[in-house]
Amino acid sequence: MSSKADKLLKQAVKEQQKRIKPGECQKYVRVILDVALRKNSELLQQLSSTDLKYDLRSLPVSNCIIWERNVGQQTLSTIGNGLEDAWRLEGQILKVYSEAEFQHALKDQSLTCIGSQLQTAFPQPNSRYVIAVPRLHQSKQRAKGSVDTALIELQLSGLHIEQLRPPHTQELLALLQRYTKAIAEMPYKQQRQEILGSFKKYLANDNKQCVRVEQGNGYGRLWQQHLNRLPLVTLEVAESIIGQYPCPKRMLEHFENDPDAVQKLADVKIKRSNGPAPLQTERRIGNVLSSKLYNLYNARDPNTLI
Amino acid sequence: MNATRLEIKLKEPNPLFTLWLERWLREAEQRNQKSQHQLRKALAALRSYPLPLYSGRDCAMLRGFGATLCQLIDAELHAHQLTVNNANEQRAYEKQVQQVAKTVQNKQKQKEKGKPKKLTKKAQQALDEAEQRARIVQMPAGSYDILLLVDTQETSGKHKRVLDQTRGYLQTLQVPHEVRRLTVGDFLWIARNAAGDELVLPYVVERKRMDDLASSIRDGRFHEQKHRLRQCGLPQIIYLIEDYGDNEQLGLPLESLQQALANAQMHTPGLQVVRSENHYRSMCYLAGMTAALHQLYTQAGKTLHSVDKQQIESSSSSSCWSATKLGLLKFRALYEDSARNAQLTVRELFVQQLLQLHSLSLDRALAIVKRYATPRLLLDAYAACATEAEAQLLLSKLCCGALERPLGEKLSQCIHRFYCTHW
Repeated sequence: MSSKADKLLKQAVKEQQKRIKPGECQKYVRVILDVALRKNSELLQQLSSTDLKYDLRSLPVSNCIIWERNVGQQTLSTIGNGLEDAWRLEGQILKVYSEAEFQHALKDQSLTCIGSQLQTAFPQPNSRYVIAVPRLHQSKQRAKGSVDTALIELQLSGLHIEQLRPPHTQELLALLQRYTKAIAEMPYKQQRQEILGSFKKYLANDNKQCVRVEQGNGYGRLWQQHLNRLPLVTLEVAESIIGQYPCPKRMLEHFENDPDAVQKLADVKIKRSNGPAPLQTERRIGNVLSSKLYNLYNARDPNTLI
Repeated sequence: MNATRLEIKLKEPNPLFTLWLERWLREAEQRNQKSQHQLRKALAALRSYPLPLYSGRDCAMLRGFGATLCQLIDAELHAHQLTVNNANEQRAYEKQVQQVAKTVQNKQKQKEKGKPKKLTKKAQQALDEAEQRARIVQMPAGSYDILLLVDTQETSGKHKRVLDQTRGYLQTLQVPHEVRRLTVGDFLWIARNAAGDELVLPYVVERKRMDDLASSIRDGRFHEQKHRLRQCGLPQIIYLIEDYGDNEQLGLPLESLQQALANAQMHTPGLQVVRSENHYRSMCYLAGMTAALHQLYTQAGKTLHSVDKQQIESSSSSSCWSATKLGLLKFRALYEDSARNAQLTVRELFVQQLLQLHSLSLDRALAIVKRYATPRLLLDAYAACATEAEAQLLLSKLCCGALERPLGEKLSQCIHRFYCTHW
C-alpha cells in the first residue's frame, strides 16, 4: 500500500517540478485586469497580440491588475464533465494611474492612502503592492521636487513604484510581460533560494572552472582547486602544498601519523615565481593556514569556522 | 592537564615491626638476656628508616638485623596475616592516604583562588572587544543624528573623479554625509549618538549604472551581489539604477536588463528598484531619502536599540515605517560580518570543494553533505567499509534534489578515488 502512495507522491512532485520549470511555467499563469481598464482599448488590443493569457474581472479597487496561477485540477467542474483547474491568487497587485489620475491624486493627496487601500482590498499576506505612474517631465523644477518627495515617502511606507515613460500603453504592456514572466518563475526561484540562502557564501557561481577527471591530469587539477577554495590560498601557495602532498591521501596520512604534521606543513616554503626579493612577507605556508587545513580535514562538527 | 606528584612520608613507616621489636626488647631487658643489646641497635635502625618494610628479609639490610631476627619477624608476620585486624588496618591506611591527597588538593585550590591571573595584553584586548560587542546600545528619540555613509569605493569605472563628483553633489545638496569603507552596499544610513555609538538604519543602497548592470549580469557578479545584500541583515535593499546615456550599446539587450530588474524585485523580498536619469539625479534621490529618513526617525521620534543579526525580524518596509521602537544592527557588527573574507564553516567549504568536480551539481553536493557533513565524516565512513568495492559505491545510492535521483556509480567511484587513493 505504501509503495502505491509513494508512487503517487513521486508523480505529484514530478508534475509540480515540471510546472514551475522556467519556460514551461508561463503557460500556467494568467493576468486578471479590472474592468475599468477596458476603456484603454489600445492596451487590450496589444495584449491580445501577445502570448499572455488574460481575463477581465471586476476587482475591489479600480484599475488594478492581479495574477493567478493554475495549480492543477483539484475540483469537479460544475459545467459538463471533467475536472476544473484551480487558480491561486499570486501576491502581486498593480494599480495603474493614467496621467490625469496621477496629477489628481498628487493634488488631493489621496496618493498617501493608496497603500493601505490596496492592502485592505487584497489582504493576502506577503503581498507586494505596486503603482504604475507616468514619469513626469521636469516641467517645473519645484513641482518635480515635491513629486519626488511624495514618491520617496510612498516607497518608505512599503509601496513599490514603477515610473513609465511614454508611450505609456506600450510601456505598461512591456511591464506586464516582464511581471508575468517573473511571477511565473517565482516558485522555482523560491526553491533555489531555500537551498542557496542557507549558506553565507553564494555557491552557484563556482561551476565555471569545473574539472573533468577522465582526462589526464584531472585529479591533480581537482586537488589544486580544492586547495584554492580556502581563503588566502593563492596559486603559489597551492602549488607549494601540492609539492609537499601530491594527493590528499598523503596529507591525510601525514596528519594522522605524525603529531608534528601541522608544524611541518606550516614551515613549508612557498616557491615564488618572481625570484628572491629583499622584502618577502610570507615565505612559509604559516601556522594559520596549516591549522585551517588540519581543521578542514579533521573536524567532525560542520559548523567549525575555518 | 597538570598533575602533581604527592610524596607521602609516613610518620611511622613500620609500626608493626617496631611494636614487635619493642616487645622483644622489653622481654629481653626483663630477663636480662644478651640479645637486648642487638635488639636495641636494630630498633634504633628501624626507627630511623623512613620507608615501609614488608617482610623480615627486607629488614636484613638494616644494622642489627641478623638472620635469626629476620626469621623471627617473618614467623610473627605469618601469624599476624591470619588475623582479621590486618584487613581493616589496610583499608584504614588507604583511606588515610586518600584524605591526605584531598587535603593537599583543597589547599592547592585555595592558593590558586587567591592569585589573580595576569592576562596578556592581547587577551585583555580581546576581552574588551568582546565586552564592547555584547553591549546593548539604547538610543531614545532625540539622542541621535542621521548620517549618510558613502563607500570609498563608490565609483563607476574606478575613477576617483567620480567619488569627488559624488561628494560635490552631496555637498551642494547639503546632505550630511561621511565617506567610509563599507563592506556591503554603496550607501548606508546610520544613527549616531553623542557617545559615538552607530546603528545602521534598515536600508542599503547599491548604485548601478546600466552598463555596470549589464557587465555584472554577464559575468555572474549580479547574483552574488544580490546574495550578499540579502545575507547582510538589512531588510530593505534599494537598487539605484542610473541610465547610461540612451541605454544603448550596453552589451546586453535593454529588455534583458529590464527583466533582470523585474526578477530581482519579485524574487527578493525587500528589494526595490529606483531609476534615475544621471549621476546628479541619483544624488538628489539620496538627498531626498536622507531628508525623509530624518523626518521619519528623528522628527517622528523613533527609539532605537541594538540587536544581533539573528534577532532582526524580516521586517517589511511598512513595519519599519510605522514602528516607534526599532531594533537595528551596530555598524561595527555589520562591517565585520559582511566582510568578504569572513570565516566560512567546514560545511560550506566542503560543498564548495565538491562542486569543483564536473557534473557534480549543487543538488548532488548538498545530498552528499547532508549525509556526511564534513570531509572527516566521509573519510570515517570510507574507513568503516568492509571492502574497497563497498567504499567505491558508498555514495552511489544517495538521493539528490526534489526528484530524488541517485548520485550514480561513476561519481561515487570518482570521489572515492580522489580521497582514498594515491592516484
